[in-house]
Parts: sequence; C-alpha cells; structure tokens
Amino acid sequence: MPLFRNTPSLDTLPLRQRAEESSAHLSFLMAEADKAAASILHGEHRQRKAGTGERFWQFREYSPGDRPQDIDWRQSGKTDKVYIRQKEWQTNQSAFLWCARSNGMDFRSDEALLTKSDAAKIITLAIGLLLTHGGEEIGIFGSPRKGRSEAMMQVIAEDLVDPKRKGPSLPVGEAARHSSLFLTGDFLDPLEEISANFKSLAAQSDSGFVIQVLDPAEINLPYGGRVLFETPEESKQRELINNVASIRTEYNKRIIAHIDGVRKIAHECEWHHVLHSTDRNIADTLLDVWTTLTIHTSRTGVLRR
Amino acid sequence: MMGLLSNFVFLNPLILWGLAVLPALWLLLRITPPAPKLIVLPTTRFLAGLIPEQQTSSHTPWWILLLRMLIAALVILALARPVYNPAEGLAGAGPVRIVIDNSWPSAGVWDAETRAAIDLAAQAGREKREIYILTTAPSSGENKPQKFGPLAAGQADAILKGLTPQPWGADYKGAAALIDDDASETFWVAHGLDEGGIGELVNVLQKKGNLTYLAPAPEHLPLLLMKDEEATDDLQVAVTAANTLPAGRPVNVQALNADGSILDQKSITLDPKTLPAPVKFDIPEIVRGDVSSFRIGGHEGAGGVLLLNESTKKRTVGLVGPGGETEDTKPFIEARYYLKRALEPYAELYQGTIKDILKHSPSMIILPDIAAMGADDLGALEKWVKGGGLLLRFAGPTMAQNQGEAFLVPVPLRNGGRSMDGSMTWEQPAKLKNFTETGPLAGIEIHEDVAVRQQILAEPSPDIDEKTWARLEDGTPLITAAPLEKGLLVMVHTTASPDWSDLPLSGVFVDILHRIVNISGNPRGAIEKTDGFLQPVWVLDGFGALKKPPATLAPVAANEFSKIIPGPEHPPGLYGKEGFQRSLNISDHVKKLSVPTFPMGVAQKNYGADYERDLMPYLLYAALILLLADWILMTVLMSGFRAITKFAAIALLFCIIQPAYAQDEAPPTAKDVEYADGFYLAYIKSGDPALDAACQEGLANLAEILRQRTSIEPSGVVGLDPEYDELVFFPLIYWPISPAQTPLSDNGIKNVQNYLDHGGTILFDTRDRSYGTALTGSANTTALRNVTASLNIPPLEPMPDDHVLNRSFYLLNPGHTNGYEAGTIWAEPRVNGRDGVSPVLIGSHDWVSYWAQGERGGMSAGAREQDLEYRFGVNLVMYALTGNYKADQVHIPHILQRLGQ
Repeated sequence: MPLFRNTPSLDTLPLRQRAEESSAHLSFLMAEADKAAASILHGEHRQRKAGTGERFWQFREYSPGDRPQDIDWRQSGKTDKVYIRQKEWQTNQSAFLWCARSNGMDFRSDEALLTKSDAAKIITLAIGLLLTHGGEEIGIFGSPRKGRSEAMMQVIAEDLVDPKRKGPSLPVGEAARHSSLFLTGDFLDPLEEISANFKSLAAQSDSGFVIQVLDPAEINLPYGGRVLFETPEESKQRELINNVASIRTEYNKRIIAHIDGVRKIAHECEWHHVLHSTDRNIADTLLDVWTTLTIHTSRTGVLRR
Repeated sequence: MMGLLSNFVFLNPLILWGLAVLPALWLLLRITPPAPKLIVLPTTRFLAGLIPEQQTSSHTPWWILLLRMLIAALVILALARPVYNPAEGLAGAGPVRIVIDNSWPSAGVWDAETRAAIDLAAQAGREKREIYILTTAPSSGENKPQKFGPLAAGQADAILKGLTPQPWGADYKGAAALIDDDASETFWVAHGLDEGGIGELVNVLQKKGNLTYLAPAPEHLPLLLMKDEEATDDLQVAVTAANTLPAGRPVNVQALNADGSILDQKSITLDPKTLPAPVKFDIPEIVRGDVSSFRIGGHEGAGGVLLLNESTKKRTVGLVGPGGETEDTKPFIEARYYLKRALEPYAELYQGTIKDILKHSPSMIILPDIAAMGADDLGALEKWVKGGGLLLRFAGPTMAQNQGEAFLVPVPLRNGGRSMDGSMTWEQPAKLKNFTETGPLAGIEIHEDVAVRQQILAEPSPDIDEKTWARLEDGTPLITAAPLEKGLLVMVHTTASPDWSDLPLSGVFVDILHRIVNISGNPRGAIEKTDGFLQPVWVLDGFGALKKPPATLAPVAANEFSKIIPGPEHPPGLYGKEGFQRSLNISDHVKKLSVPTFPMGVAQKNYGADYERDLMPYLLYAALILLLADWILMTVLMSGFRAITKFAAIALLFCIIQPAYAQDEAPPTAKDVEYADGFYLAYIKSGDPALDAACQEGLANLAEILRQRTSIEPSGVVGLDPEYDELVFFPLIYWPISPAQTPLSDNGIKNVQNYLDHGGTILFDTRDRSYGTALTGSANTTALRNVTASLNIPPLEPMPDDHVLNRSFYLLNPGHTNGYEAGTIWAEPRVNGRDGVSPVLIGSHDWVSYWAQGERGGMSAGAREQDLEYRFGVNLVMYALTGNYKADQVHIPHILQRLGQ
C-alpha cells in the first residue's frame, strides 16, 4: 500500500492530457469547494448597503442633493420619475489566498483520505468562493492581480491545480497593504522560521488566518515495529525507529507542542488559527473558519482594518 | 554415555561437513538485520532523537540466531541419515533367507519377530543382497507354509509387515520341502519353541549354509493355557511353559463370560519345576455358569485362550402345569409361582403340558403335585427320563390322595399324607435336619426356622438311606432321588407351595433347586445323536481374538471332533450350533512346551531390547517445530504488541464463541441462578440503543408500580438476546419490534419456540399504534412477520373486551369513554392448559414509551391516562403470572356490581 502518493511528474505527459487531467482535478476541487462553501453560504458575507462599490445595488428616486451624474437615464426614461443608480458599498480591502505546495503536502496516510494538498486547495478555494460571494476582492498571494469576479476564482483555481508548481512551505513575498491573508498549509517548519515569516507578513497586512492542514497519521503515528521514516523533501532526512509503538506518546507530545507553537505565533500576530486534520469533514473546518471570521467581522464591521 | 553414542551411525556421513558451514551462517545472520519498513512521513523531523523506551537491537537477537542455527544443524544431521542401534552387517555373501515363525506361540512375541525380520531385511537391502522369506505355519486357506523370493528390501519389508501369526501349529516338514533356492545365509526369526519335528527343517537349512536362530529371551517364551488334567471341575485350568522359563514370571489368568467381560481373575507366579501350574477359580454359583473361556491376561495368541464347552447356556427347565394349563400362576398361592421365582435366574423356564415342554428338550422337568397323567404323556416322560432327563417331583394333596398309582418316584410312598401341625395331632412341625453328606445337596446351609408341617412318607426300604438327599429332624426323608436308566428321579416329599411347609419361603429352597438344576442334563449324549456335524461358530485368530468364521470353513463330524488337530481347515474355536457347542483349543493336543535343541553350528541369539531406528524423521520433525516457533516469534517481534493483542482478541473471541455453542451442556451460570431466584421483567433487545433504553426505563418504572401496588415484587429488569440467552426464567417477555428487527437464526427460533412451548408468554409490540383490526401495513408489522414466520404460534384473534387481561388486577374498560384505549391486542382465543395464558400477545400501543415517562402525580387528564397505561402493565404481568384465575366465574357478581356503579 503506497502510503505516500507521488503525483507523477506531469512535465513528461502530453500537453493535452495534462490539461484534461488538471481540469478534471480542478472540477473535482471546485465541486468540493462549492459543496463546502454552500453549507455556509446561507449567511452571505455581503455588505447589503449602498456604497462606493462597482456592483449595482438598487435604483432609487432622485432626491435633491444626489449627484446628477448618478442618474440612470435609461431607467428614468421608462417612467415619469427620475432614478439614480446606486452601487453597493464596498470595502477597498482585498483578501489574498495562499496555499502551501511543498512536497510534504502530497502526503496521505490512507487511500480513503485526501492528500493534505488537496484538502488545503479545497479549503483555499472554498474560502475564495465564500469571500467572492461576500463581495470581497480576492487574489493570489504574491500576485498583484485581484478581483471579485468568478473569473478571478477561475484564475485562482487554475493556479492551485497546476501540478508543475511546487513551492515553498511558507508564504514568501510581500503582502499588499490593507489586505487580509488566508494561509493554508501544514506549517511543519521550525517554529523560528514560521515566527519570522508570519511576523513580517503581519506587519504588512491587516489581518491573517492560518489554516493548518495535517494528516491524522502525522499526529498519531499509527505505525508499529521497525520503521525507517523518510521526509518527502529533497533533503531525504531519515530516522530509523526500532519500535515505533514505544515512541508514539513522545512523538505525539512533540507534534502537539508544534501545533500549539504555530497557534501561539498566529495569535501573537493577532491572526486566527484553525487546525484541519484530513480525516475531518472539510465543511466543518470551513464552518469554523467562517464563524471565526463573521464574529470577528461583525465586531469590527469588516475584516479587520 | 559412550555406549549410547556408539550406537549411532550416519549413513551419509559426508553431509556432516555441512555443520562446518554453521559458523559462517552465524556471521551472515548476525550482520544482516531484518530490513525495516520504509515509510515516508512529512513529520519525520519530529522523530529525530526520540529514543524508544524498549531498546531493541538492530541485530537479530542472539537467541533467535541460536534457534535458527539449531534448525540448520538439525536439518544437516537429518540429511546425514543417523541410525540408532544399527543392525550389524550380515555374515557371508549372496542371498539371505529369513525364516519367520508364524504359528500360534509366535503371537506373544510377534512384535519382536517382525522387528527383527524387518531389520534383517533392511540390512540385507543395504548390502544389496536378495532376500527369501519362508514361514513355518500355513496361512489361513492354505495347507502349507509360504515362501517368497527373491525380493528386494522394500518388497521384503512390505511382505513382513503383511504377515500375521496364525492360530495353529507349525508345519516344519512342509516348510523344509519348500526350500529350493540357494541362499546360503539363513536367519530364523523364531518364537523359541519346538513344536515337534523342528530338527528336519534345521537339517535342511544347515545343508544350505549358515543358520542363525533368533529367539526371545527365556523370560519371554510363549505360554500355554490348558485344562487342568487332574481337576474334575471346569473352573480349574493350568498354565504351562517351556521348562527353561526362569522362575518368577507372573501370570494373570482371567475367567470371561460370553461377552468377554472378566468375571474373575487369578494371578500366579510360574515356577519351571512345577509346570503345568494349576489355577483354581472360586466363582460364585450365580455366575459360575456364565464362564465361557479363560485367557492369560496380556498374552496374545491362541495358546493363551481356553474355550469351554457350551458352559454359557442356561439349563432348560420344563414346569408342568396342573391339568396342562399354562401361564396365570397365582402369586403366593400356587407352587408354580415359587418354583418360577426360584428358578428364573438360573434356568430357562418353560411351562406347559409335557408334550409342549418336551419340544424344548429340557434338561429338567418339574412336576409339582401331579399324581396322574395320560398314558401318552407318561410314556413320553418316562422315555425322556430314561434318555438322560432329570425329573423333579413335589408332593402335595393330590399325590397324597392318589398313592396307588404312583409313577416315576424314586422311592415307594406311603398312603396318605402325614400331618404334624393339624388340630388333631400332638406332633410339632418338623425342622430340617441335614443334607446327606454324600448327596449333591451337601453343604447347603440350613435355616432354623424352616419347618415342615405335612409330608408324604417314603416306605422304609433297605436302600432308602442311599436314596435320601435330605432328612427331617425325626429322620424321615424329605428329598429322595433314584436313577432311572440314564436319567434321575428326584422327589421332594412336601409341597413347592407354603401349604405344607415353610421351605418355599426360605433361601434353602432356592439353593436346593439351583443345585438340582446344575446337576441336571448332560447334553453331550444328545449332541452326538443330532445330525452328526458341528459347524464352526466362533474361531480364534492368530492373536487369540474370537471372530466369525470365514464361509469356507467346513463343518466337523461330531464323532471325529476329539481327534481334530487345529489347523487352517479347523482353526481353534467353538463348533456346533447354538445350544450345543464344543470347543477346540490348542491345548487339546499340545500338552507340553519345549525349547528346541540344535546341532553344532547353529548360531543362537536372543532378540535385543533395542532395534534399529532411523532418526531422520524425528530430526526433521524437530526442525519443523522449531521453524514454526521461529515464525511465530518473528511475527510477534515484527508487529510488536499489536499482534499479541490481536492474538489475544482472537483467542478471547474463541472463548466467547465457544460457550455460546456449548450452551446446551453448559452448567447454570451465576446469572441463571440469579434469574431463577427472583422474578425479572424481561425484554428483547432490539439493537436500537434508544429503544433498549426506553424498555429498560419503562419496565423499571412498571416494576416500581408493581412493587407499590401489588404483591408482585420484581427483582429487576433484564434485556435479552433471543439468539443466545436462556429465556426460561422469565414468565413474561416484552418484545418491542423495530424496523431493524432481523429474522431469527435457527438457534434463535429453537430458543424462542422452546420458551413458548414451555409456558412462556411474549408480548410483541409493533409500536406503530395502528389500532385497526388488521395486522398489516407498517414496516414494524413486516418486521414482526419476519420474526414470527418460523415460530409455531397458535392462531390469534383480536382480544375481546371482557378478556381476562382487562380484569386480572384492575378493571379496564376499553371502548368506553374515559376507558383505556390501547388498540387491538391479539391473543390466542381458547388456550388449552397453561392456565389460559396466551403464549403470544400482539399489540401496537408502544407501552414502554408510556411507562418510560414515569408516574405523573396529580389528577390531571394526562396523569389519569398515564396511570391507565401502568394499570394495563400491572394487568399484563398479573395475567402472565396468574392466568385465568380472575376469569373465574366466582367474581362475576362482584364485578357486575362494580360495573353497575
């Protein structure tokens, strides 16, 4: 039973097949993300008030004081009254999504589970969908492009699915001003590195959300006997354990300590932290994320400014 | 120790060099640890520096290495073909002849013989020499010994293993005549006895070349069980052996009945100076007649068995009824009753007219107080007596009146009876004095309280003393006897009923009759007058076991029987037919056992205790077992303790399953005792936790109500599994049906049916509150059908309103305003037995969920309804426990009065 599913290097495959495969994978991810997002969308994250946005909000009868250039003449021509076209109030804040693409993310301990990478992508996409539905402007971390359209979602999704793109285990780059960050990954790097990374990002951005995705096997180490463990990274770090059962508790303590460390760092940055274990329902995790987000938003009006 | 080691020989010693490889193997195994599993884990970094609590070496543990080395060493040793106690090389060259004794004495030493012969054949095979095999006794169906050869070792082995000892003697002459090969080396695997004329065969064999005579050690020489020639009693036998037998060999002789059960056994110690050694059995009279054979315990072969002549048969006794009437004896009054009671254990009793009785060819006929009979009968009877019969007569009132025509009496009789106890006599009843010392009744113990009140006197005559077997105190004869040609006439001068004496009431009577029966009848004469041929009935095989004879055995002429020598045509055994059997034993014609004497040049050896043994299979088995052990150890080590817990779980599972299957035989458990001790409300577990909890809660509440309001004091509530739990302890079982209800297994059906058939009551609750009169529609009724489909349930009808269930404790008024409404309940309308309790009730009201709500206080409508639910529950339990008690008409006026209010 291959415990580690190595995605074949798609470089070698014909272009067309690659495109098909990734689009199949994309539709799977999108469907999963849609499903997860749909369970939450009953409480849409829209502003529901007129404002300076780009989207049409409502027609309203002209009253003195309104700017004449706001009059919608086409609508006014249909009746005797004069209407102005109001647009929805929108924030000028944008959310940037980041999803880890390190080798370690392709791990799953059981065929029945999603890989950490897939889970992370689904979560990222679902958050993207939710934010889009909420009228937020979203973009990919590290890229200046942003938008609040479905088209932007597509761009993000295709970017996520692109199997060629392996990336660092931590978000590298500058965060845009007045932005919220949604960082999804396993964050297994040493705590100092994570701390430095997060703190520099926190200084640049308004708020952040860390979704730490881990496989249950990474937490519980359900192996036994004599095992040679190996990292999936290039470095191929190896550890030979003669009796895995005997170190399980110790290991579990360590990994929990690490997760707590990541959470602590996030909190120091005044960010949120949610742990997702891949044997958990994504929608549940997403609900956690969303609840945290809406509580926070309702308190501050918008995403933290 | 050295001696033991020197007994080993390796047939392929070169392979032992393989042992030299072992150290290399050791090194090889040591430096290659078992490969670990490779698992890619992103969090491997976190494992760095973790030290396992149990440090296991990366090397294979030394003891596993040792185990494997041992396995390798065992395999190498096994391949080197070690042989323990190898046979010595055979002398000479050229073909080898093996002479094997298979006559009757060889059975006792057969194992030693065949083992020695097989070793010889194996050794000859190793030396690539041809083998000839010669037997000394003909096998069954042949008339001369057998010869095989030339053979290879494998063939010889098969033939030797196929030989069996025969139950007759050797034919040395016939064997000698068969020798036509030119094998120069002869090995005689013998039983150690000379059966007569051994010298002839020895001479022929010696002419061919060298002769080695292998015989058992003197203490193992065969024995022979024979009749004790000097004894008159059948129960005296003798054991004989060759006179070279060392003193002190213990022998156990058993007396067996026809079924082969041991009736008695005697142990003696043989002394060669006093052979044959007599063995006298002292078997109680009652079973004496059952002894059919004697046997030397633990000694196989026909020589150790002595069959007796027709001793197993009960005597046939005819009892002539007065006037020829048969059957219907009146207890305690008639003579025949006492005679039957006294004789039945020892004799086969026939009643009837003389003609009827004579058809059964009895050995004894009894005439109780019969004074006259037809001339035909008299003639036949007289002829029978003269032919060897025993006629036993009893006196009596009839005889006393008909003195003149006295017939077939041993002594002349006086006219009229003699009364000693009448109102007109001064004499006292006479007591028994003694039994004549020389008579067959000598030795019977006399009871003081036996008195004779009346008798018929014998005429004094000169020979009256010889003819008297028993006397009274005053010297008058009580029992007289006289021969009549081959037969015997016996007369008891008083009645066989208590009319004239106490004799029939005492044990003396039984003893007397038994003695007389025992001396009666000697069918030997009769046999020889029958068709003249004796069929084989049972024959002995070579090991001394009785078998049905093969169909090819010819019958033996009766008058030549005593001359027959046991052989293939006439194996020892029982000949004759049912009823008349004669035995043919080895010892009939062999009276003395002797060991052979040999001329010069014959090498004599004894069988050793040790025989050649190929150790290869044992070593391979040992290696295999160690290999298995190694495999189990590795499995455990590799998978760590998880495997152990799995094993434990499986073992535990077996422990749990086992009792479940063995439930029928299982002794009552503590639970059973507890359930049997009190009254428990029971329900069937549905598997739905919520429903089960509701049942538990509901029934517990009902139990509380019962405790408060009635004299029923439930001890608790029990959830049952109909498949495995014993249901019989519970008078009422509540069975909630859920859609998840699965059909019962065969075991479950048996269990539930057994419960219903033995007085149990089950309330099935479909819980869907379908109050219609049809039990169809819902999923629950379908589930109910699934359960009850295989149960034998009587036809049910909707319960009428006046059913006893509605008034067994509370008066419930279904169908009335403010009455109790629980929908239709189905019950068996007319129950036979069981106190009118229907074995099955079916309802749909979901009572437990009402009961589970608990008691509501107050007078609200809800509380009233809730109380009615409980009232139904009380009625239900009352109904199950008391049955139709409340249906009793006695209560009707009272009930009517209350209903009117």
